[in-house]
Amino acid sequence: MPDHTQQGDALRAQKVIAQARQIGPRRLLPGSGRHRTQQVTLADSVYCVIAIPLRAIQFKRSSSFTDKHPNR
Amino acid sequence: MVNPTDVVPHDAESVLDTKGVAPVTFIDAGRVQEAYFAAGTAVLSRLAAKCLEAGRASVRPSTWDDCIVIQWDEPETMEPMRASGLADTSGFSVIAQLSENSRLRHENALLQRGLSEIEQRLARIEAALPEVKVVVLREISRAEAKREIKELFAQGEALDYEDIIDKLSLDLELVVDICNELIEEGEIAPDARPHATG
Repeated sequence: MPDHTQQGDALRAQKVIAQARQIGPRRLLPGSGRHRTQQVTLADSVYCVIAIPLRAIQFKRSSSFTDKHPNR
Repeated sequence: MVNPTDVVPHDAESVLDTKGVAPVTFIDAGRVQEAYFAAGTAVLSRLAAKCLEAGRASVRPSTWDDCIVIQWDEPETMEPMRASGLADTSGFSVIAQLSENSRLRHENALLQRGLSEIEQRLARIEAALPEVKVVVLREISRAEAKREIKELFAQGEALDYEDIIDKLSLDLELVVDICNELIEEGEIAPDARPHATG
Protein backbone atom coordinates (compact mmCIF):
# COMPACT_ATOMS: atom_id res chain seq x y z
CA MET A 1 0.00 0.00 0.00
CA PRO A 2 1.34 3.47 -0.83
CA ASP A 3 2.49 5.94 1.80
CA HIS A 4 1.19 9.47 1.16
CA THR A 5 3.73 12.05 2.17
CA GLN A 6 3.00 15.10 0.03
CA GLN A 7 1.42 18.39 1.06
CA GLY A 8 -2.34 18.13 0.58
CA ASP A 9 -2.52 14.33 0.55
CA ALA A 10 -5.67 13.38 2.41
CA LEU A 11 -7.25 10.35 4.00
CA ARG A 12 -11.02 10.00 4.04
CA ALA A 13 -12.40 7.02 5.89
CA GLN A 14 -14.78 5.80 8.56
CA LYS A 15 -11.88 5.08 10.87
CA VAL A 16 -8.25 6.17 10.91
CA ILE A 17 -5.67 5.09 13.47
CA ALA A 18 -3.00 7.70 14.09
CA GLN A 19 0.10 7.99 16.18
CA ALA A 20 2.32 11.02 16.76
CA ARG A 21 4.71 12.41 19.29
CA GLN A 22 2.57 15.52 19.79
CA ILE A 23 -1.20 15.68 19.80
CA GLY A 24 -2.77 19.14 19.98
CA PRO A 25 -5.92 20.15 21.81
CA ARG A 26 -9.26 18.99 20.48
CA ARG A 27 -11.35 21.67 18.81
CA LEU A 28 -15.08 21.37 18.51
CA LEU A 29 -16.18 22.50 15.07
CA PRO A 30 -19.53 24.24 14.73
CA GLY A 31 -22.41 22.13 13.59
CA SER A 32 -25.55 20.67 14.96
CA GLY A 33 -26.50 17.33 16.43
CA ARG A 34 -24.84 14.34 14.85
CA HIS A 35 -22.96 16.45 12.31
CA ARG A 36 -20.84 18.06 14.98
CA THR A 37 -17.23 17.10 14.55
CA GLN A 38 -13.89 17.59 16.25
CA GLN A 39 -10.50 18.56 14.91
CA VAL A 40 -7.08 17.74 16.22
CA THR A 41 -3.55 18.40 14.99
CA LEU A 42 -0.85 15.76 15.12
CA ALA A 43 2.80 16.69 14.83
CA ASP A 44 6.22 15.08 14.82
CA SER A 45 6.62 11.54 13.46
CA VAL A 46 2.98 11.30 12.47
CA TYR A 47 1.71 7.99 11.09
CA CYS A 48 -1.93 7.52 10.08
CA VAL A 49 -3.56 4.50 8.52
CA ILE A 50 -7.09 3.74 7.38
CA ALA A 51 -8.44 0.89 9.47
CA ILE A 52 -11.04 -1.24 7.76
CA PRO A 53 -11.83 -4.49 9.60
CA LEU A 54 -10.10 -7.51 8.14
CA ARG A 55 -11.16 -11.13 8.30
CA ALA A 56 -9.55 -14.41 7.32
CA ILE A 57 -10.68 -15.47 3.85
CA GLN A 58 -11.94 -18.87 5.04
CA PHE A 59 -14.28 -17.23 7.58
CA LYS A 60 -15.25 -14.51 5.15
CA ARG A 61 -16.63 -17.12 2.68
CA SER A 62 -18.51 -19.13 5.30
CA SER A 63 -19.88 -16.04 6.98
CA SER A 64 -21.63 -14.76 3.84
CA PHE A 65 -24.45 -17.27 4.41
CA THR A 66 -25.17 -15.96 7.89
CA ASP A 67 -25.14 -12.42 6.50
CA LYS A 68 -28.09 -13.29 4.32
CA HIS A 69 -29.87 -15.30 7.02
CA PRO A 70 -29.07 -13.68 10.35
CA ASN A 71 -31.77 -15.65 12.19
CA ARG A 72 -30.39 -19.09 11.35
CA MET B 1 9.10 70.62 70.85
CA VAL B 2 7.03 67.74 72.13
CA ASN B 3 8.81 64.47 72.19
CA PRO B 4 6.50 61.92 70.52
CA THR B 5 7.87 59.15 72.68
CA ASP B 6 6.22 60.78 75.68
CA VAL B 7 2.65 60.31 74.46
CA VAL B 8 2.50 56.97 72.70
CA PRO B 9 1.56 53.87 74.67
CA HIS B 10 4.39 51.86 76.09
CA ASP B 11 2.83 48.61 74.92
CA ALA B 12 2.73 49.71 71.32
CA GLU B 13 4.67 46.69 70.07
CA SER B 14 2.20 44.34 71.66
CA VAL B 15 -0.66 46.19 69.96
CA LEU B 16 1.11 45.81 66.65
CA ASP B 17 1.57 42.17 67.42
CA THR B 18 -2.20 41.65 67.75
CA LYS B 19 -2.58 43.20 64.30
CA GLY B 20 -0.27 40.57 62.93
CA VAL B 21 2.41 42.98 61.78
CA ALA B 22 4.88 42.94 64.62
CA PRO B 23 7.70 42.89 65.26
CA VAL B 24 8.52 45.25 62.44
CA THR B 25 11.50 47.31 61.47
CA PHE B 26 10.74 50.53 59.68
CA ILE B 27 13.06 51.00 56.77
CA ASP B 28 11.43 54.00 55.12
CA ALA B 29 9.12 56.70 56.37
CA GLY B 30 7.48 57.67 53.12
CA ARG B 31 5.56 60.89 53.81
CA VAL B 32 6.55 61.09 57.43
CA GLN B 33 8.82 64.02 58.01
CA GLU B 34 12.49 63.20 57.98
CA ALA B 35 12.98 64.68 61.40
CA TYR B 36 10.27 62.50 62.86
CA PHE B 37 11.64 59.43 61.18
CA ALA B 38 14.97 60.32 62.62
CA ALA B 39 13.41 59.98 66.07
CA GLY B 40 13.81 56.27 65.62
CA THR B 41 11.98 53.14 64.60
CA ALA B 42 10.55 52.59 68.08
CA VAL B 43 8.69 55.89 67.84
CA LEU B 44 7.27 55.09 64.44
CA SER B 45 6.31 51.65 65.62
CA ARG B 46 4.34 53.12 68.52
CA LEU B 47 2.64 55.71 66.33
CA ALA B 48 1.61 53.05 63.86
CA ALA B 49 0.35 50.91 66.73
CA LYS B 50 -1.71 53.74 68.14
CA CYS B 51 -3.37 54.39 64.79
CA LEU B 52 -4.02 50.71 64.20
CA GLU B 53 -5.50 50.39 67.67
CA ALA B 54 -7.82 53.31 66.98
CA GLY B 55 -8.79 51.78 63.67
CA ARG B 56 -7.43 54.79 61.85
CA ALA B 57 -4.65 53.04 60.00
CA SER B 58 -4.59 50.31 57.42
CA VAL B 59 -2.03 47.74 56.48
CA ARG B 60 -1.48 46.97 52.80
CA PRO B 61 1.11 44.95 50.90
CA SER B 62 4.19 46.71 49.59
CA THR B 63 6.07 46.10 46.40
CA TRP B 64 8.65 44.12 48.40
CA ASP B 65 7.73 40.64 49.52
CA ASP B 66 9.08 41.05 53.01
CA CYS B 67 7.53 44.46 53.69
CA ILE B 68 4.15 45.96 54.42
CA VAL B 69 2.89 49.52 54.30
CA ILE B 70 1.11 50.95 57.30
CA GLN B 71 -0.87 54.00 56.26
CA TRP B 72 -3.07 56.46 58.15
CA ASP B 73 -4.77 59.55 56.91
CA GLU B 74 -5.84 61.44 59.99
CA PRO B 75 -2.96 63.43 61.32
CA GLU B 76 -5.21 65.11 63.90
CA THR B 77 -4.97 61.93 65.93
CA MET B 78 -1.30 62.61 66.20
CA GLU B 79 -1.54 65.72 68.32
CA PRO B 80 2.05 65.54 69.41
CA MET B 81 3.09 65.65 65.80
CA ARG B 82 0.70 68.50 65.02
CA ALA B 83 2.01 70.40 67.98
CA SER B 84 5.52 69.81 66.86
CA GLY B 85 4.68 71.08 63.41
CA LEU B 86 5.54 67.78 61.83
CA ALA B 87 1.98 66.84 60.84
CA ASP B 88 1.28 69.26 58.05
CA THR B 89 0.80 66.55 55.48
CA SER B 90 -2.57 64.95 54.90
CA GLY B 91 -1.46 61.53 55.99
CA PHE B 92 1.39 59.30 56.94
CA SER B 93 2.73 56.08 55.64
CA VAL B 94 5.60 53.90 56.63
CA ILE B 95 7.08 50.85 55.07
CA ALA B 96 7.73 48.18 57.63
CA GLN B 97 9.98 45.22 57.14
CA LEU B 98 8.30 42.12 58.46
CA SER B 99 10.04 39.82 60.86
CA GLU B 100 11.22 36.47 59.49
CA ASN B 101 8.30 34.76 61.18
CA SER B 102 5.73 37.14 59.73
CA ARG B 103 7.33 36.94 56.31
CA LEU B 104 7.20 33.14 56.39
CA ARG B 105 3.56 33.20 57.48
CA HIS B 106 2.76 35.61 54.66
CA GLU B 107 4.69 33.47 52.17
CA ASN B 108 2.99 30.32 53.43
CA ALA B 109 -0.44 31.86 52.93
CA LEU B 110 0.47 32.86 49.39
CA LEU B 111 1.81 29.37 48.63
CA GLN B 112 -1.32 27.73 50.06
CA ARG B 113 -3.48 29.93 47.88
CA GLY B 114 -1.32 29.18 44.83
CA LEU B 115 -1.40 25.45 45.52
CA SER B 116 -5.15 25.50 45.86
CA GLU B 117 -5.49 27.30 42.51
CA ILE B 118 -3.13 24.80 40.83
CA GLU B 119 -5.10 21.86 42.26
CA GLN B 120 -8.35 23.31 40.92
CA ARG B 121 -6.82 23.89 37.49
CA LEU B 122 -5.34 20.37 37.42
CA ALA B 123 -8.73 18.88 38.31
CA ARG B 124 -10.36 20.79 35.47
CA ILE B 125 -7.67 19.65 33.01
CA GLU B 126 -7.94 16.02 34.16
CA ALA B 127 -11.70 16.12 33.75
CA ALA B 128 -11.33 17.42 30.20
CA LEU B 129 -8.69 14.90 29.15
CA PRO B 130 -9.74 11.62 27.57
CA GLU B 131 -8.63 8.53 29.44
CA VAL B 132 -5.16 7.52 28.26
CA LYS B 133 -4.43 3.85 27.87
CA VAL B 134 -0.79 2.91 28.12
CA VAL B 135 0.29 0.14 25.78
CA VAL B 136 3.62 -1.56 26.34
CA LEU B 137 4.78 -2.89 22.99
CA ARG B 138 6.43 -6.28 22.76
CA GLU B 139 9.61 -6.63 20.77
CA ILE B 140 9.36 -9.85 18.84
CA SER B 141 10.61 -10.93 15.45
CA ARG B 142 8.60 -10.16 12.36
CA ALA B 143 8.07 -13.88 11.68
CA GLU B 144 6.77 -14.40 15.20
CA ALA B 145 4.47 -11.38 14.88
CA LYS B 146 3.11 -12.66 11.58
CA ARG B 147 2.42 -16.08 13.07
CA GLU B 148 0.55 -14.53 16.02
CA ILE B 149 -1.53 -12.30 13.74
CA LYS B 150 -2.46 -15.28 11.55
CA GLU B 151 -3.48 -17.22 14.66
CA LEU B 152 -5.62 -14.29 15.73
CA PHE B 153 -7.44 -14.16 12.39
CA ALA B 154 -7.82 -17.94 12.50
CA GLN B 155 -10.29 -17.46 15.37
CA GLY B 156 -12.72 -16.05 12.80
CA GLU B 157 -13.13 -12.54 14.17
CA ALA B 158 -13.11 -9.39 12.07
CA LEU B 159 -10.23 -7.29 13.34
CA ASP B 160 -8.83 -3.90 12.55
CA TYR B 161 -5.33 -2.71 13.42
CA GLU B 162 -6.45 -1.34 16.76
CA ASP B 163 -7.89 -4.71 17.80
CA ILE B 164 -4.66 -6.46 16.82
CA ILE B 165 -2.52 -3.95 18.73
CA ASP B 166 -4.73 -4.30 21.81
CA LYS B 167 -4.57 -8.08 21.75
CA LEU B 168 -0.93 -8.59 20.76
CA SER B 169 0.78 -5.35 21.91
CA LEU B 170 2.61 -4.89 18.62
CA ASP B 171 3.81 -1.77 16.83
CA LEU B 172 1.20 -0.20 14.53
CA GLU B 173 3.46 0.03 11.47
CA LEU B 174 4.53 -3.58 11.87
CA VAL B 175 0.91 -4.71 12.13
CA VAL B 176 -0.08 -2.70 9.03
CA ASP B 177 2.87 -4.11 7.09
CA ILE B 178 2.12 -7.72 8.03
CA CYS B 179 -1.61 -7.31 7.32
CA ASN B 180 -0.81 -5.91 3.86
CA GLU B 181 1.40 -8.95 3.28
CA LEU B 182 -1.37 -11.32 4.41
CA ILE B 183 -3.83 -9.56 2.05
CA GLU B 184 -1.40 -10.03 -0.85
CA GLU B 185 -1.00 -13.70 0.11
CA GLY B 186 -4.77 -14.14 0.04
CA GLU B 187 -4.98 -15.04 3.74
CA ILE B 188 -7.18 -12.13 4.82
CA ALA B 189 -9.36 -9.51 3.14
CA PRO B 190 -11.37 -6.44 4.12
CA ASP B 191 -14.55 -7.50 5.83
CA ALA B 192 -17.71 -6.36 4.06
CA ARG B 193 -19.84 -6.59 7.17
CA PRO B 194 -20.00 -3.69 9.60
CA HIS B 195 -17.30 -3.99 12.21
CA ALA B 196 -18.58 -4.85 15.65
CA THR B 197 -17.64 -2.18 18.14
CA GLY B 198 -16.92 -2.34 21.81
